[in-house]
Amino acid sequence: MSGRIAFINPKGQQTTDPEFARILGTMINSKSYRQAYSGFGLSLLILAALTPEDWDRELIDENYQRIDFDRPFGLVAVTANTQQATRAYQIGEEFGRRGVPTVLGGIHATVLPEEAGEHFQSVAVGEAESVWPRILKDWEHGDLKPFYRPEAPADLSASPPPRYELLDRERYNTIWVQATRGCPYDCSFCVASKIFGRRYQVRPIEQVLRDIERVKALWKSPNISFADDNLFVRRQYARDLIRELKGLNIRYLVQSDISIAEDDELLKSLQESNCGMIFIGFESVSAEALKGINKKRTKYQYLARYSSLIQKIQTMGIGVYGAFIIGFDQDTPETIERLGDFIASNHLYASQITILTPYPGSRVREALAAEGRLLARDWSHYNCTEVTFVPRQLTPDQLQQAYNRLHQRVYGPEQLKRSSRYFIDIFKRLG
Amino acid sequence: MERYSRDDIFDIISEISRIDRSEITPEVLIREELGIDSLQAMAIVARLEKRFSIRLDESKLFEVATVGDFVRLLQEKLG
Repeated sequence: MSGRIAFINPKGQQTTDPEFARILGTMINSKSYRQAYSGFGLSLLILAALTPEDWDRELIDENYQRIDFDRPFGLVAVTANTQQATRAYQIGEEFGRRGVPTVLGGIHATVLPEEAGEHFQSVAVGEAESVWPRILKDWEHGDLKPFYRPEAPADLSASPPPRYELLDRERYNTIWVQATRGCPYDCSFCVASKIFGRRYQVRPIEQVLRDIERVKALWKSPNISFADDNLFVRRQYARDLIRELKGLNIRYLVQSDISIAEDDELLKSLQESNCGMIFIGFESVSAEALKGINKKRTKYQYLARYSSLIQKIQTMGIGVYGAFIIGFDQDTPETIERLGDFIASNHLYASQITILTPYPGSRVREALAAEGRLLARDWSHYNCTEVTFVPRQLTPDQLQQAYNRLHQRVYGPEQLKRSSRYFIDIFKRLG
Repeated sequence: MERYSRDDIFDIISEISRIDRSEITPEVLIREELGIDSLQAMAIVARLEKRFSIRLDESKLFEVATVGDFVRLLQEKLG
């Protein structure tokens, strides 16, 4: 038995703060900034691939499409991160009122399944590969259970190729590809370790290459982004994979920690294989803030060399996309100002600056909740651009203002002009 | 300063972006159609500056949308 199934990505808003929205609108590179956020996540494409061929699949991205709640779907599957949860719940209830079976999965449902269960008939906890076949089987028997939890961790090598062909080729040009899953560093603000454990899995390289070839067959000039939290944890695997990318004639982005800059062989290989950008979580330039992020102090131990290592990468013609968080207990107006100086003086190709966000399941949330410092705001504000807790050394409003000012500075025309000249001169030296 | 031809510019764009020369036409959109990112656009400007011994206004880079805009950028400088 089969039917029509909707795979829905609920609408997400980059911000609900009017001042920050205004700043985003005035940025010279606001289009490319938006595009960087516009890729379609892999989870629904993997679910679609795990669904037997006799199902009629519809992929709906509410950021671009209206949901027709009266369409006769046999099953509705929704994925949501925390920021999308409020809207996801409305979608679940709307279909529920029409008697359509609904399932919610994703990060938020995994960490708060009971809450999600109030709005959806079923909740899929954890990795999709582990539970989706059971959900479909139970649906066939009209016996959907309230919760589906993995009986064993998913085997990444058994994960099917994502159904990229379901994506609108005109709409998306940033395409995600997955090579690894998991992160062993267990940072206080992140829930990756909570979802996947500290287990780090890699896919066979031939599967990754097959996915890339598939993307290349569908898109003329795709920007390929590796979805892995950190592609370089198993260094030999990464070396072998990057070596294989040399012959593919692709432009791509990877995510790593800064230690990659110490690996000359790998950097050379990234350069030769046309890697455009490395996304690196620096998180802070405050030593005290970095000390508290994880037990191994993996970030803190590199702080003194952040600048020289950034320079090493960027002088090879590879852009560093630095990720930073403000709002740690150690942050003051001065440390936030210092972060702006750091980004400017190091000519970072791009920066992702976010406000510390106490995601459900994170240690940061537990600590803030214990101290009564969480603000009563619904999940739609958990978008990393708004304050959802009481900071230690600033008021919530001061932190929001500091964030908005920092964005204006880092993405202001003067900074972009200086950074562009820096890279133009690098490329002139490289020939 | 050296004289330039449109073909010189197209060759440079093709080489930096690794896109077949036949796909490089004046009206084609560099980001949306060719998938050229801003870093590659900077590499193209660097190559143009080196080749023609000029310095372009880097702030104009954000106004470049098509291959033809690169040609116009150079025209403005070299006449």
